[in-house]
Amino acid sequence: MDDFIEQVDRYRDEFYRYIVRTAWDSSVADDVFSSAVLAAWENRHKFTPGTNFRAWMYRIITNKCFVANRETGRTPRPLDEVPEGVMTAVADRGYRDVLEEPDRFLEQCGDEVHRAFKILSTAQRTCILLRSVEKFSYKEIAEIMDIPVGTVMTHLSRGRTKLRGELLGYAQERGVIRTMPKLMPRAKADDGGRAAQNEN
Amino acid sequence: MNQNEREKLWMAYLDGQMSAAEASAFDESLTAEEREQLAAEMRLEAGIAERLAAKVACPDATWEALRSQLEGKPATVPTNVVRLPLRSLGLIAAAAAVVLVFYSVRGGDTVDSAPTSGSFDSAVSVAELENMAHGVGVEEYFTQHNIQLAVADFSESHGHSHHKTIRAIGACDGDCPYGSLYEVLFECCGEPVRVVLAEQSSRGARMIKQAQAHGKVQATRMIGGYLAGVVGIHHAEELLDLIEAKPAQVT
Repeated sequence: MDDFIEQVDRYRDEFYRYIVRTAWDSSVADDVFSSAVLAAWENRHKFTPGTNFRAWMYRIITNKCFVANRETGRTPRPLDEVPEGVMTAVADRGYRDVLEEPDRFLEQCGDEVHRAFKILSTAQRTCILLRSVEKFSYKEIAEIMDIPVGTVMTHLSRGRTKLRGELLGYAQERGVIRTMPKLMPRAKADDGGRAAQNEN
Repeated sequence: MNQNEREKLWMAYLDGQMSAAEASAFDESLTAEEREQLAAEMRLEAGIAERLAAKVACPDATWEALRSQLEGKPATVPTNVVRLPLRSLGLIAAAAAVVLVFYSVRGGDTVDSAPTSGSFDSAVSVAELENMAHGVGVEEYFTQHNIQLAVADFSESHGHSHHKTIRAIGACDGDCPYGSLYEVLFECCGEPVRVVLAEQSSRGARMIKQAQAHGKVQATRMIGGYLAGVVGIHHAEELLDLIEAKPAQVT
């Protein structure tokens, strides 16, 4: 028992943060955290000693987050609004400006990152958090979410593109990007952005 | 290589999910401009991750309450800190104590007080339900107790398609001091849910109705001479669609 408590204590901040970022309604974080830890406690006999306790806990917590979000009943935007991927986004003239100074861009976006992140679907947020924040491999994420690795990559790609699109839109509205894309002919995705470059 | 495949390689490289040989081969295929873009993408992704990782910690009060519960100690936290399931457990315990004191003083068998524990306790786990069933299947239990009901084939469409998984764990006697109460135990979307049953107009049926009035039962329905009610935190009224009256046997 002490081992279990010690292990949860060790990771509790990151578990809690993961719930806050994954849940549509972050006010349910206490409930989801408590419910997940109690479920893990009741099922601790199913954990194989020597395997990854942290990943095992994430699997339980992720399930609880999906249940909580299903009960919240929020509908994400349809997937067909999401562009194909990061490389497509790179072709956008405004996005090329972002990539010149990503740190400055994020600094100017401020808390907008959190708001934009909440727009993604639960699966997209989960994949991005598990990969970019918690540093799980694609294979581990697939096991935690009980989905194929290819699906993990699709969620990651679409989620990241959508997030960048939201941040880019915000930056354009606020004039954060130095070159306003609407003043420049937009590059087509299939010309690798050369059209926009030629304008300079 | 099409755009989609290229996109996946780009992302796997960005995430460090390639072997050294794959990464080296991919790196060689990049133009200087693409290499710069990837480096910038990595900085952008790292910056986003840094922001998503910041400023959130598990409240000490939440953790201490949970820890006390795991260690079997009474929780001593502000009441507004921990909601379900901890708060409901506390309320259930308090209500159960009040009911016990009431009966010990009065000695009656009234069903006027709100049933808050036993068959109407939502805080039990799937593992506890499995223990309660003792491996007795639903059909077997119904036959043993001469209950003229059956559980429908799950593969049939009963309008519960939004539930991910439904599993019948088994059945057992309900917790009712004044008559027969039965429980059919389910795991629905990984969550424990019970359907409590009592014969129409029995005290058990009145108890179910009372529990519903107190919010302990999600929904009730009359099925073949029995009143059925759904108990659990997970909303699964559709489980009532799975309980059916057995057709009368033709002699």
